Amino acid sequence: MAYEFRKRIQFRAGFFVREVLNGTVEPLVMLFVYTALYGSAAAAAGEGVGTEPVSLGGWTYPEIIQYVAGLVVVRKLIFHSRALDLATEIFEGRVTKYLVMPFRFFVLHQGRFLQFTLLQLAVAALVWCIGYAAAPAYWLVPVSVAATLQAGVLVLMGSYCCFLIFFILNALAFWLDVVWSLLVMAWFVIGFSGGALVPVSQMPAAFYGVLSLGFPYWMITAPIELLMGRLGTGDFLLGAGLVAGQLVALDLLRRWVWRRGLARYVGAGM
Amino acid sequence: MSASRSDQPGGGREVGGSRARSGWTLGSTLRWGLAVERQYVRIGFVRKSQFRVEFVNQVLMDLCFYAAFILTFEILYGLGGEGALTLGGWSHEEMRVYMGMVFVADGLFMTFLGQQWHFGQDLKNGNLDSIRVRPGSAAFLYFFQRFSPEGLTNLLFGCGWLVFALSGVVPEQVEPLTLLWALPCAAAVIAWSQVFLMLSYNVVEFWLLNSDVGHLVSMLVTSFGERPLEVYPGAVGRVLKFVLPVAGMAWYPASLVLGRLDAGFALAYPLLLVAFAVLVTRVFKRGLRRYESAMG
Repeated sequence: MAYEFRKRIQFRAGFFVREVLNGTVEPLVMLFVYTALYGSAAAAAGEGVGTEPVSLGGWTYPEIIQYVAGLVVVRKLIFHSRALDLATEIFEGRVTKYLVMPFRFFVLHQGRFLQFTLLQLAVAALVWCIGYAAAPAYWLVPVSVAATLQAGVLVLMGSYCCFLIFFILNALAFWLDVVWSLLVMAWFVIGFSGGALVPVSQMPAAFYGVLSLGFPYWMITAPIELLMGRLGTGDFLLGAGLVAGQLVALDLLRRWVWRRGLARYVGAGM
Repeated sequence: MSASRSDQPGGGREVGGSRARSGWTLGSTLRWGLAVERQYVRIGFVRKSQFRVEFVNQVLMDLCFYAAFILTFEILYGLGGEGALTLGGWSHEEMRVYMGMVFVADGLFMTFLGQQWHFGQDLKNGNLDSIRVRPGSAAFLYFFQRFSPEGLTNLLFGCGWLVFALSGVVPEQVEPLTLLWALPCAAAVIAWSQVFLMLSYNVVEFWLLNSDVGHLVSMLVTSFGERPLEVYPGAVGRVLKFVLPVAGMAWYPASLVLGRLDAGFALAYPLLLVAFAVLVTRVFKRGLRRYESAMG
């Protein structure tokens, strides 16, 4: 009985750590860094942190706090590479059994994306409520319902792009022995170019000009700016169009890679 | 593994008895450790020679991390114009040195301690039987077993960045002769801190099995240690210096090299790191006694 109790407690601790705390460390550190940076700028300008609108790259300190709060919530909704185990299925030759099913193999993975999104919507809502209860004066409160819906659509479209990228990288297991480093590398690129470390709109103009064309920007920075009221419906429509184009391109690439991979698959295993 | 009999602690005279009886001395322990590590390095190169694309991918992966890190701070310091902003009192040039220490710490960790990511799962699956040997150190045998050539490559890149960063502060801020003693001391402190910090956030897995707490603490420790401690509120900074001495990863080494520490603190802090190591080792040994092969 003691053994079973210990096991239950341990796995619930694991769930809490994985689902609620995971993804909050980097934004927290980012907040401390920004506080020090704005403190330095305010000291140079002879002002106090948070009391005067010291602006760095078009962002004031209170806006940055809201950005970090938004980042904590938005990151919960972005599809994570750990949610797919396609590479393992390929390595171990277990794909064969799925190929005789009356529906496409990819539908199973789309179901996993749907399951992930539904669970993470609940987790993100929980995290938002906890944050709002803990610091209502600083927490990001959406400017309108329309902005919330627009931001939600962009995040989910971007998340689906991530899902497609991770699927493609996993499918490279038809050719490669190990793919996890590609997945980690992809996240470094997506995270940085989306604004997980610095808001893209705070970066130098050349960076912003290039990165604002990619879906990561419209998945992380832009939705938070929509929620804050810094971007409007026109920006949303532009972003939705850009992301939709990239989503279609990624899906075509996904189909091509999958077909090529399956053609050389020998199904050793199950 | 083919460590010779004479490589064993005590020259292989007796295994399993008390340390005094078996002739366990610091010298023989070091020789034994080096012999084992030599085999781990050999196995690491053999393994990676079979996965050459993976080797390149992992090098690129860490370079992406370094590039994102460097770009982030270059952008942040650039926001206020050249030389206008500091981060907790760290100038742009000093921060580059700090980043160099972070990369060296990361490189050392990835080269020697990559096995720690599997500790929770191995503990759950009961895979630790083979490393519970006497008189060798179970922690050493387990955590050092995955030598990574790609980590070593990235360590060299990290050292390259550190040299570049130091060129920005030598000789204006740091005397070249100072580097002769400060850099080896900094490297020793980084290695020592990485080993015992890693051990400290893995011991929790003995009590909270497969909980990911170890991974979260690892991420927390690494992320906090990657920024100068002055950016954190006073209490958090003190915890990171004196309770969980993350400061040893990059803050203390960078501050030592840049001459930002007073002599008393510079001499006393390594003693704290030694005390921390003794404490963590004892807790690890106690945790290991809870291990019963099949804990899952």
